[in-house]
Amino acid sequence: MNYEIIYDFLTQPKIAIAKIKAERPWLLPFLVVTFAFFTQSLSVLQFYIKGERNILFFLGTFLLLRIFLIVIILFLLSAFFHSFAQLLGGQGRTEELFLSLGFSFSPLFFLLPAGIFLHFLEVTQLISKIWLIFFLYNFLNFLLFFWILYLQILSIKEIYSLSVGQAIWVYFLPFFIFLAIGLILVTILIFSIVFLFR
Amino acid sequence: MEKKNLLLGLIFLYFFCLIATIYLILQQAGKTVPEPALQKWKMFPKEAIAILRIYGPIGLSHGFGFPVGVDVDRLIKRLQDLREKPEIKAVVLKINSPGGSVGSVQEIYSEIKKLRQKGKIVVASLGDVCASGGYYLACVADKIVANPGTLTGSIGVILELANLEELFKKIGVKIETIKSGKHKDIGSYARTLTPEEKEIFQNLINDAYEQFINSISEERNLKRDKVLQFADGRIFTAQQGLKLGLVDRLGTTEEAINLAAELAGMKGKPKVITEFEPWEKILDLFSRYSERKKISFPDILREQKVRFEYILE
Repeated sequence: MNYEIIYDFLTQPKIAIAKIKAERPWLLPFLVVTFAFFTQSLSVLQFYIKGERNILFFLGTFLLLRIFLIVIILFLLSAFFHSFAQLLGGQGRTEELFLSLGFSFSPLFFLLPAGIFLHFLEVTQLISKIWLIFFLYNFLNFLLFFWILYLQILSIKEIYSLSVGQAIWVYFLPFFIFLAIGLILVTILIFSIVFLFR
Repeated sequence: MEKKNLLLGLIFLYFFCLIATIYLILQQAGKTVPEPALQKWKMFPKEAIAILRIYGPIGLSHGFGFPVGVDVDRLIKRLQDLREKPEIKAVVLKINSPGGSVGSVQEIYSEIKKLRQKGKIVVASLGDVCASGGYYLACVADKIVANPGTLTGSIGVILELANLEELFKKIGVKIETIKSGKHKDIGSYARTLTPEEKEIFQNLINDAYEQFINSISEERNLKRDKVLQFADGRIFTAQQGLKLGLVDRLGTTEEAINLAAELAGMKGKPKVITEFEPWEKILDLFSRYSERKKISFPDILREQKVRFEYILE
Protein backbone atom coordinates (compact mmCIF):
# COMPACT_ATOMS: atom_id res chain seq x y z
CA MET A 1 0.00 0.00 0.00
CA ASN A 2 1.20 3.45 -0.89
CA TYR A 3 0.82 5.23 2.45
CA GLU A 4 2.45 8.31 0.97
CA ILE A 5 -0.89 9.27 -0.56
CA ILE A 6 -2.18 10.13 2.94
CA TYR A 7 0.79 12.40 3.53
CA ASP A 8 0.48 13.90 0.06
CA PHE A 9 -3.25 14.46 0.55
CA LEU A 10 -2.44 16.74 3.48
CA THR A 11 0.57 18.50 1.98
CA GLN A 12 0.04 18.40 -1.80
CA PRO A 13 -3.59 17.41 -2.36
CA LYS A 14 -3.52 17.98 -6.12
CA ILE A 15 -0.64 15.52 -6.56
CA ALA A 16 -2.34 13.03 -4.23
CA ILE A 17 -5.57 13.19 -6.24
CA ALA A 18 -3.57 12.55 -9.42
CA LYS A 19 -2.03 9.48 -7.72
CA ILE A 20 -5.52 8.29 -6.66
CA LYS A 21 -6.68 8.60 -10.29
CA ALA A 22 -3.70 6.58 -11.45
CA GLU A 23 -3.46 3.92 -8.71
CA ARG A 24 -7.02 3.66 -7.34
CA PRO A 25 -5.99 2.39 -3.87
CA TRP A 26 -9.19 0.75 -2.60
CA LEU A 27 -8.12 -0.33 0.87
CA LEU A 28 -6.36 2.82 2.01
CA PRO A 29 -9.36 5.18 2.04
CA PHE A 30 -11.30 2.68 4.19
CA LEU A 31 -8.41 2.62 6.63
CA VAL A 32 -8.31 6.42 6.62
CA VAL A 33 -12.06 6.67 7.32
CA THR A 34 -11.88 4.02 10.05
CA PHE A 35 -8.90 5.51 11.84
CA ALA A 36 -10.05 9.11 11.31
CA PHE A 37 -13.41 8.46 12.96
CA PHE A 38 -11.85 6.27 15.62
CA THR A 39 -9.55 9.22 16.35
CA GLN A 40 -12.47 11.62 16.46
CA SER A 41 -14.48 9.35 18.79
CA LEU A 42 -11.55 9.00 21.16
CA SER A 43 -11.03 12.72 21.10
CA VAL A 44 -14.70 13.40 21.89
CA LEU A 45 -14.57 10.85 24.70
CA GLN A 46 -11.46 12.46 26.11
CA PHE A 47 -13.17 15.83 26.33
CA TYR A 48 -16.82 15.23 26.98
CA ILE A 49 -17.36 11.99 28.84
CA LYS A 50 -15.06 12.41 31.76
CA GLY A 51 -16.04 10.30 34.73
CA GLU A 52 -18.43 8.14 32.74
CA ARG A 53 -17.85 4.41 32.92
CA ASN A 54 -19.61 3.11 29.85
CA ILE A 55 -16.79 4.14 27.56
CA LEU A 56 -16.43 0.84 25.76
CA PHE A 57 -20.14 0.82 25.10
CA PHE A 58 -20.04 4.36 23.70
CA LEU A 59 -16.95 3.71 21.69
CA GLY A 60 -17.98 0.34 20.33
CA THR A 61 -21.56 1.21 19.42
CA PHE A 62 -21.11 4.65 18.01
CA LEU A 63 -17.84 4.04 16.26
CA LEU A 64 -19.02 1.03 14.27
CA LEU A 65 -22.29 2.76 13.49
CA ARG A 66 -20.58 5.96 12.44
CA ILE A 67 -18.03 4.29 10.19
CA PHE A 68 -20.75 2.24 8.54
CA LEU A 69 -22.92 5.33 8.04
CA ILE A 70 -20.04 7.44 6.77
CA VAL A 71 -19.17 4.85 4.12
CA ILE A 72 -22.81 4.66 3.02
CA ILE A 73 -23.12 8.47 2.98
CA LEU A 74 -19.87 8.82 1.03
CA PHE A 75 -21.14 6.28 -1.44
CA LEU A 76 -24.41 8.17 -1.93
CA LEU A 77 -22.72 11.56 -2.00
CA SER A 78 -20.25 10.35 -4.63
CA ALA A 79 -23.17 9.31 -6.80
CA PHE A 80 -24.88 12.68 -6.32
CA PHE A 81 -21.69 14.66 -6.92
CA HIS A 82 -20.98 12.59 -10.02
CA SER A 83 -24.42 13.28 -11.46
CA PHE A 84 -24.26 17.02 -10.81
CA ALA A 85 -20.66 17.28 -12.04
CA GLN A 86 -21.64 15.59 -15.28
CA LEU A 87 -24.60 17.94 -15.64
CA LEU A 88 -22.13 20.83 -15.46
CA GLY A 89 -19.98 19.23 -18.15
CA GLY A 90 -17.36 17.59 -15.89
CA GLN A 91 -15.73 14.32 -16.91
CA GLY A 92 -14.50 11.87 -14.29
CA ARG A 93 -15.14 8.57 -12.54
CA THR A 94 -17.34 8.03 -9.46
CA GLU A 95 -14.98 5.53 -7.83
CA GLU A 96 -12.09 8.01 -8.01
CA LEU A 97 -14.24 10.59 -6.27
CA PHE A 98 -15.37 8.04 -3.69
CA LEU A 99 -11.76 7.14 -2.86
CA SER A 100 -10.69 10.77 -2.79
CA LEU A 101 -13.55 11.69 -0.43
CA GLY A 102 -12.38 8.88 1.87
CA PHE A 103 -8.89 10.38 1.99
CA SER A 104 -10.33 13.82 2.68
CA PHE A 105 -10.95 12.86 6.35
CA SER A 106 -7.18 12.59 6.97
CA PRO A 107 -7.02 15.95 8.83
CA LEU A 108 -8.99 14.31 11.67
CA PHE A 109 -5.74 12.52 12.64
CA PHE A 110 -4.53 15.80 14.09
CA LEU A 111 -7.17 15.61 16.82
CA LEU A 112 -5.12 13.10 18.81
CA PRO A 113 -1.88 15.07 19.25
CA ALA A 114 -3.94 18.24 19.70
CA GLY A 115 -6.02 16.56 22.40
CA ILE A 116 -2.92 15.41 24.26
CA PHE A 117 -1.43 18.90 23.95
CA LEU A 118 -4.61 20.47 25.37
CA HIS A 119 -4.62 17.92 28.18
CA PHE A 120 -1.03 18.86 28.92
CA LEU A 121 -2.02 22.54 29.05
CA GLU A 122 -4.86 21.68 31.44
CA VAL A 123 -2.83 19.45 33.76
CA THR A 124 0.13 21.83 33.98
CA GLN A 125 -2.27 24.74 34.58
CA LEU A 126 -0.73 26.65 31.67
CA ILE A 127 -4.35 27.32 30.84
CA SER A 128 -6.33 27.37 34.06
CA LYS A 129 -9.70 28.25 32.55
CA ILE A 130 -11.47 25.06 31.61
CA TRP A 131 -13.78 26.87 29.18
CA LEU A 132 -10.73 28.04 27.23
CA ILE A 133 -9.56 24.44 26.80
CA PHE A 134 -12.97 23.50 25.44
CA PHE A 135 -13.01 26.58 23.24
CA LEU A 136 -9.62 25.68 21.76
CA TYR A 137 -10.74 22.10 21.21
CA ASN A 138 -13.90 23.20 19.42
CA PHE A 139 -12.02 25.84 17.45
CA LEU A 140 -9.62 23.14 16.26
CA ASN A 141 -12.59 21.00 15.21
CA PHE A 142 -13.95 24.00 13.35
CA LEU A 143 -10.65 24.50 11.46
CA LEU A 144 -10.45 20.80 10.61
CA PHE A 145 -14.01 20.92 9.32
CA PHE A 146 -13.05 23.63 6.84
CA TRP A 147 -9.89 21.77 5.87
CA ILE A 148 -11.96 18.64 5.10
CA LEU A 149 -14.47 20.79 3.21
CA TYR A 150 -11.64 22.27 1.13
CA LEU A 151 -10.19 18.82 0.36
CA GLN A 152 -13.58 17.48 -0.72
CA ILE A 153 -14.32 20.43 -3.01
CA LEU A 154 -10.82 20.16 -4.42
CA SER A 155 -11.41 16.45 -5.10
CA ILE A 156 -14.51 17.28 -7.15
CA LYS A 157 -12.65 20.04 -8.98
CA GLU A 158 -9.63 17.90 -9.84
CA ILE A 159 -11.42 14.67 -10.69
CA TYR A 160 -14.04 16.29 -12.93
CA SER A 161 -11.83 19.14 -14.22
CA LEU A 162 -14.31 21.78 -13.12
CA SER A 163 -13.76 25.39 -12.12
CA VAL A 164 -13.74 26.31 -8.40
CA GLY A 165 -17.23 27.86 -8.67
CA GLN A 166 -18.64 24.78 -10.40
CA ALA A 167 -17.04 22.44 -7.83
CA ILE A 168 -18.56 24.46 -4.96
CA TRP A 169 -21.92 24.39 -6.71
CA VAL A 170 -21.70 20.60 -7.22
CA TYR A 171 -20.70 20.13 -3.58
CA PHE A 172 -23.54 22.11 -2.04
CA LEU A 173 -26.35 21.26 -4.44
CA PRO A 174 -27.18 17.85 -2.83
CA PHE A 175 -27.38 19.51 0.58
CA PHE A 176 -29.75 22.17 -0.76
CA ILE A 177 -31.89 19.46 -2.32
CA PHE A 178 -31.94 17.42 0.91
CA LEU A 179 -32.81 20.57 2.82
CA ALA A 180 -35.66 21.37 0.44
CA ILE A 181 -37.00 17.78 0.61
CA GLY A 182 -36.66 17.86 4.39
CA LEU A 183 -38.59 21.12 4.62
CA ILE A 184 -41.34 19.76 2.39
CA LEU A 185 -41.61 16.58 4.48
CA VAL A 186 -41.67 18.55 7.75
CA THR A 187 -44.39 20.83 6.33
CA ILE A 188 -46.44 17.80 5.27
CA LEU A 189 -45.92 16.22 8.71
CA ILE A 190 -46.99 19.40 10.52
CA PHE A 191 -50.10 19.75 8.36
CA SER A 192 -50.91 16.06 8.87
CA ILE A 193 -50.64 16.37 12.65
CA VAL A 194 -52.74 19.55 12.65
CA PHE A 195 -55.33 17.84 10.47
CA LEU A 196 -55.31 14.73 12.67
CA PHE A 197 -55.75 16.57 15.97
CA ARG A 198 -57.94 19.50 15.02
CA MET B 1 13.52 7.80 0.95
CA GLU B 2 13.48 10.87 3.17
CA LYS B 3 9.74 11.20 2.68
CA LYS B 4 9.19 7.55 3.60
CA ASN B 5 11.09 8.01 6.86
CA LEU B 6 9.05 11.07 7.66
CA LEU B 7 5.89 9.12 6.95
CA LEU B 8 6.98 6.25 9.20
CA GLY B 9 7.76 8.77 11.93
CA LEU B 10 4.31 10.28 11.58
CA ILE B 11 2.63 6.86 11.72
CA PHE B 12 4.65 6.04 14.83
CA LEU B 13 3.68 9.39 16.36
CA TYR B 14 0.02 8.75 15.57
CA PHE B 15 0.01 5.35 17.29
CA PHE B 16 1.87 6.80 20.25
CA CYS B 17 -0.81 9.50 20.55
CA LEU B 18 -3.49 6.84 20.17
CA ILE B 19 -2.16 4.81 23.09
CA ALA B 20 -1.66 7.94 25.19
CA THR B 21 -5.24 9.10 24.52
CA ILE B 22 -6.70 5.69 25.40
CA TYR B 23 -4.69 5.76 28.63
CA LEU B 24 -5.97 9.26 29.45
CA ILE B 25 -9.56 8.22 28.77
CA LEU B 26 -9.32 5.14 30.97
CA GLN B 27 -7.73 7.25 33.68
CA GLN B 28 -10.61 9.75 33.50
CA ALA B 29 -13.21 6.98 33.43
CA GLY B 30 -11.80 5.48 36.60
CA LYS B 31 -12.48 8.63 38.58
CA THR B 32 -15.59 8.08 40.65
CA VAL B 33 -16.10 11.75 41.36
CA PRO B 34 -15.42 13.99 38.37
CA GLU B 35 -13.70 17.28 38.89
CA PRO B 36 -16.24 19.96 39.84
CA ALA B 37 -15.08 22.30 37.09
CA LEU B 38 -16.10 19.74 34.51
CA GLN B 39 -19.59 19.24 35.90
CA LYS B 40 -21.21 21.72 33.57
CA TRP B 41 -19.70 19.97 30.57
CA LYS B 42 -21.02 16.59 31.53
CA MET B 43 -24.04 15.04 29.90
CA PHE B 44 -25.64 14.25 33.26
CA PRO B 45 -25.60 16.40 36.38
CA LYS B 46 -24.15 15.15 39.62
CA GLU B 47 -27.19 16.14 41.64
CA ALA B 48 -30.69 16.66 40.39
CA ILE B 49 -34.33 16.81 41.37
CA ALA B 50 -36.82 14.82 39.33
CA ILE B 51 -40.36 16.03 38.80
CA LEU B 52 -42.95 13.33 38.46
CA ARG B 53 -46.45 14.22 37.34
CA ILE B 54 -49.45 12.29 38.61
CA TYR B 55 -52.33 13.84 36.71
CA GLY B 56 -55.86 12.52 36.46
CA PRO B 57 -57.65 9.45 37.77
CA ILE B 58 -55.25 6.72 38.80
CA GLY B 59 -55.52 3.34 37.16
CA LEU B 60 -58.35 4.29 34.85
CA SER B 61 -56.43 5.80 32.00
CA HIS B 62 -57.92 3.48 29.42
CA GLY B 63 -61.43 3.43 30.85
CA PHE B 64 -64.66 5.18 29.98
CA GLY B 65 -65.09 8.83 30.81
CA PHE B 66 -61.44 9.63 31.55
CA PRO B 67 -59.65 10.88 28.46
CA VAL B 68 -56.56 11.69 30.53
CA GLY B 69 -55.28 9.64 33.41
CA VAL B 70 -52.29 8.15 35.12
CA ASP B 71 -50.59 5.33 33.28
CA VAL B 72 -49.81 3.26 36.35
CA ASP B 73 -47.32 0.93 34.70
CA ARG B 74 -45.33 3.81 33.23
CA LEU B 75 -45.39 5.71 36.51
CA ILE B 76 -44.14 2.69 38.47
CA LYS B 77 -41.40 2.09 35.92
CA ARG B 78 -40.38 5.74 36.26
CA LEU B 79 -40.29 5.51 40.06
CA GLN B 80 -38.14 2.38 39.85
CA ASP B 81 -35.77 4.09 37.41
CA LEU B 82 -35.46 7.12 39.68
CA ARG B 83 -34.73 4.87 42.63
CA GLU B 84 -31.66 3.48 40.86
CA LYS B 85 -30.28 6.83 39.71
CA PRO B 86 -27.64 8.07 42.16
CA GLU B 87 -27.74 11.62 40.77
CA ILE B 88 -31.41 11.98 41.74
CA LYS B 89 -31.36 13.34 45.26
CA ALA B 90 -35.02 14.31 45.50
CA VAL B 91 -38.29 13.76 43.72
CA VAL B 92 -41.13 16.26 43.55
CA LEU B 93 -44.48 14.60 42.95
CA LYS B 94 -46.80 17.01 41.15
CA ILE B 95 -50.18 15.57 42.02
CA ASN B 96 -53.39 16.70 40.39
CA SER B 97 -55.67 13.76 40.90
CA PRO B 98 -59.05 12.98 42.49
CA GLY B 99 -57.80 9.47 43.29
CA GLY B 100 -58.33 6.13 41.67
CA SER B 101 -58.62 2.41 42.08
CA VAL B 102 -57.37 0.99 45.38
CA GLY B 103 -54.88 -1.51 43.98
CA SER B 104 -53.20 0.97 41.63
CA VAL B 105 -52.98 3.66 44.30
CA GLN B 106 -51.42 1.25 46.78
CA GLU B 107 -48.93 -0.01 44.21
CA ILE B 108 -47.73 3.52 43.50
CA TYR B 109 -47.74 4.29 47.23
CA SER B 110 -45.49 1.32 47.84
CA GLU B 111 -43.04 2.42 45.10
CA ILE B 112 -42.84 5.95 46.52
CA LYS B 113 -42.13 4.46 49.92
CA LYS B 114 -39.28 2.39 48.46
CA LEU B 115 -37.92 5.58 46.90
CA ARG B 116 -37.77 7.15 50.37
CA GLN B 117 -36.20 4.04 51.84
CA LYS B 118 -33.45 4.41 49.23
CA GLY B 119 -32.66 7.79 50.77
CA LYS B 120 -34.35 10.06 48.26
CA ILE B 121 -36.29 13.03 49.49
CA VAL B 122 -39.89 13.09 48.28
CA VAL B 123 -41.95 16.28 48.31
CA ALA B 124 -45.54 16.36 47.10
CA SER B 125 -46.73 19.48 45.30
CA LEU B 126 -50.50 19.52 45.07
CA GLY B 127 -52.29 21.06 42.10
CA ASP B 128 -55.99 21.86 41.68
CA VAL B 129 -57.19 18.69 43.33
CA CYS B 130 -55.37 16.10 45.36
CA ALA B 131 -58.04 14.12 47.07
CA SER B 132 -58.73 10.60 48.22
CA GLY B 133 -56.28 8.25 46.44
CA GLY B 134 -54.34 11.33 45.26
CA TYR B 135 -53.85 12.28 48.90
CA TYR B 136 -53.00 8.65 49.75
CA LEU B 137 -49.98 9.10 47.47
CA ALA B 138 -49.14 12.57 48.81
CA CYS B 139 -49.13 11.45 52.44
CA VAL B 140 -46.14 9.16 51.87
CA ALA B 141 -43.97 12.17 50.91
CA ASP B 142 -41.55 13.76 53.37
CA LYS B 143 -43.37 17.06 53.00
CA ILE B 144 -46.58 18.22 51.35
CA VAL B 145 -46.76 21.65 49.71
CA ALA B 146 -50.07 22.91 48.32
CA ASN B 147 -51.65 26.06 46.97
CA PRO B 148 -54.07 27.60 49.48
CA GLY B 149 -57.05 26.77 47.28
CA THR B 150 -56.05 23.21 46.41
CA LEU B 151 -58.86 20.76 47.12
CA THR B 152 -57.73 17.90 49.27
CA GLY B 153 -59.12 15.39 51.77
CA SER B 154 -62.02 13.18 50.67
CA ILE B 155 -60.44 10.44 52.73
CA GLY B 156 -62.47 7.32 52.26
CA VAL B 157 -63.39 4.48 49.99
CA ILE B 158 -66.26 4.22 47.58
CA LEU B 159 -67.74 1.20 45.93
CA GLU B 160 -70.57 1.69 43.49
CA LEU B 161 -72.60 -0.99 41.81
CA ALA B 162 -75.16 -0.46 39.11
CA ASN B 163 -78.53 -2.13 39.70
CA LEU B 164 -80.43 -2.50 36.45
CA GLU B 165 -82.98 -5.01 37.73
CA GLU B 166 -85.98 -2.70 37.26
CA LEU B 167 -84.80 -1.64 33.81
CA PHE B 168 -84.39 -5.23 32.70
CA LYS B 169 -87.89 -6.03 33.97
CA LYS B 170 -89.32 -3.16 31.91
CA ILE B 171 -87.64 -4.22 28.71
CA GLY B 172 -88.22 -7.93 29.27
CA VAL B 173 -84.65 -9.04 29.76
CA LYS B 174 -83.85 -11.80 32.21
CA ILE B 175 -80.28 -12.71 33.09
CA GLU B 176 -79.80 -16.37 33.94
CA THR B 177 -76.82 -16.98 36.19
CA ILE B 178 -75.19 -20.33 36.85
CA LYS B 179 -72.61 -20.13 39.62
CA SER B 180 -70.23 -22.29 41.57
CA GLY B 181 -70.90 -20.60 44.90
CA LYS B 182 -73.61 -18.40 46.33
CA HIS B 183 -71.52 -15.24 46.23
CA LYS B 184 -69.95 -15.79 42.82
CA ASP B 185 -72.25 -13.20 41.22
CA ILE B 186 -71.91 -10.74 44.04
CA GLY B 187 -72.40 -7.21 42.71
CA SER B 188 -74.29 -8.36 39.64
CA TYR B 189 -76.08 -5.49 37.90
CA ALA B 190 -79.01 -7.79 37.17
CA ARG B 191 -80.37 -7.96 40.72
CA THR B 192 -80.58 -6.17 44.06
CA LEU B 193 -77.96 -6.94 46.71
CA THR B 194 -78.98 -9.24 49.55
CA PRO B 195 -78.37 -7.99 53.15
CA GLU B 196 -75.57 -10.55 53.47
CA GLU B 197 -73.89 -9.27 50.31
CA LYS B 198 -74.23 -5.70 51.52
CA GLU B 199 -72.42 -6.70 54.67
CA ILE B 200 -69.62 -8.34 52.68
CA PHE B 201 -69.16 -5.18 50.65
CA GLN B 202 -69.30 -3.01 53.76
CA ASN B 203 -66.57 -5.11 55.37
CA LEU B 204 -64.51 -4.74 52.20
CA ILE B 205 -64.93 -0.98 52.30
CA ASN B 206 -64.14 -0.84 56.01
CA ASP B 207 -60.95 -2.81 55.51
CA ALA B 208 -59.69 -0.59 52.69
CA TYR B 209 -60.71 2.46 54.73
CA GLU B 210 -58.72 1.16 57.71
CA GLN B 211 -55.67 0.76 55.48
CA PHE B 212 -56.10 4.35 54.28
CA ILE B 213 -56.46 5.70 57.84
CA ASN B 214 -53.47 3.73 59.07
CA SER B 215 -51.30 4.98 56.22
CA ILE B 216 -52.21 8.62 56.90
CA SER B 217 -51.74 8.21 60.63
CA GLU B 218 -48.36 6.55 60.16
CA GLU B 219 -46.97 8.76 57.39
CA ARG B 220 -48.27 12.07 58.71
CA ASN B 221 -47.53 11.33 62.36
CA LEU B 222 -51.12 12.00 63.29
CA LYS B 223 -53.05 10.19 65.97
CA ARG B 224 -55.56 7.75 64.57
CA ASP B 225 -58.42 9.39 66.49
CA LYS B 226 -57.55 12.75 65.03
CA VAL B 227 -57.52 11.35 61.50
CA LEU B 228 -60.90 9.71 62.06
CA GLN B 229 -62.37 13.10 62.99
CA PHE B 230 -62.00 14.43 59.47
CA ALA B 231 -61.70 11.22 57.44
CA ASP B 232 -65.40 11.01 56.64
CA GLY B 233 -65.07 11.80 52.95
CA ARG B 234 -65.31 15.56 53.26
CA ILE B 235 -63.05 17.79 51.24
CA PHE B 236 -60.91 20.70 52.43
CA THR B 237 -58.96 23.52 50.95
CA ALA B 238 -55.22 23.21 51.56
CA GLN B 239 -55.50 26.17 53.93
CA GLN B 240 -57.94 24.17 56.06
CA GLY B 241 -55.78 21.07 55.55
CA LEU B 242 -52.77 22.92 56.95
CA LYS B 243 -54.55 23.38 60.28
CA LEU B 244 -55.52 19.71 60.35
CA GLY B 245 -52.02 18.51 59.55
CA LEU B 246 -52.86 17.23 56.10
CA VAL B 247 -50.49 19.73 54.47
CA ASP B 248 -47.10 20.99 55.68
CA ARG B 249 -46.74 24.22 53.79
CA LEU B 250 -48.69 26.50 51.47
CA GLY B 251 -46.82 27.28 48.28
CA THR B 252 -46.24 26.67 44.60
CA THR B 253 -44.40 23.90 42.78
CA GLU B 254 -41.29 26.09 42.65
CA GLU B 255 -41.37 26.35 46.42
CA ALA B 256 -41.80 22.57 46.60
CA ILE B 257 -38.68 22.16 44.42
CA ASN B 258 -36.71 24.53 46.62
CA LEU B 259 -37.89 22.69 49.74
CA ALA B 260 -36.84 19.37 48.20
CA ALA B 261 -33.40 20.80 47.39
CA GLU B 262 -33.08 22.12 50.91
CA LEU B 263 -34.08 18.80 52.49
CA ALA B 264 -31.69 16.93 50.18
CA GLY B 265 -28.87 19.28 51.15
CA MET B 266 -28.36 20.53 47.62
CA LYS B 267 -26.53 23.81 47.22
CA GLY B 268 -27.26 26.47 44.61
CA LYS B 269 -30.00 26.35 42.01
CA PRO B 270 -31.10 22.74 41.72
CA LYS B 271 -30.99 21.00 38.35
CA VAL B 272 -34.52 19.86 37.59
CA ILE B 273 -35.31 16.89 35.38
CA THR B 274 -38.87 16.42 34.16
CA GLU B 275 -40.05 12.88 33.93
CA PHE B 276 -41.01 12.89 30.27
CA GLU B 277 -38.54 12.19 27.52
CA PRO B 278 -39.38 13.96 24.23
CA TRP B 279 -40.39 10.73 22.50
CA GLU B 280 -42.71 9.87 25.38
CA LYS B 281 -44.45 13.21 24.91
CA ILE B 282 -45.17 12.33 21.29
CA LEU B 283 -46.41 8.85 22.26
CA ASP B 284 -48.55 10.43 24.96
CA LEU B 285 -50.13 12.69 22.35
CA PHE B 286 -51.06 9.72 20.19
CA SER B 287 -52.37 7.64 23.08
CA ARG B 288 -54.59 10.51 24.16
CA TYR B 289 -55.97 10.77 20.66
CA SER B 290 -56.69 7.05 20.53
CA GLU B 291 -58.65 7.28 23.77
CA ARG B 292 -61.27 9.54 22.17
CA LYS B 293 -63.33 6.58 21.12
CA LYS B 294 -67.00 5.92 21.65
CA ILE B 295 -67.79 3.11 24.06
CA SER B 296 -70.72 0.77 23.57
CA PHE B 297 -73.46 0.14 26.14
CA PRO B 298 -72.11 -3.32 27.14
CA ASP B 299 -68.74 -1.69 27.76
CA ILE B 300 -70.40 0.89 29.99
CA LEU B 301 -72.03 -1.90 31.98
CA ARG B 302 -68.73 -3.71 32.27
CA GLU B 303 -67.02 -0.54 33.39
CA GLN B 304 -69.74 0.24 35.88
CA LYS B 305 -70.02 -3.25 37.34
CA VAL B 306 -67.67 -2.68 40.24
CA ARG B 307 -65.97 0.50 41.32
CA PHE B 308 -63.76 0.05 44.30
CA GLU B 309 -61.86 3.25 44.62
CA TYR B 310 -60.22 5.87 46.74
CA ILE B 311 -61.74 8.67 44.69
CA LEU B 312 -63.32 12.09 45.02
CA GLU B 313 -66.75 12.04 43.37
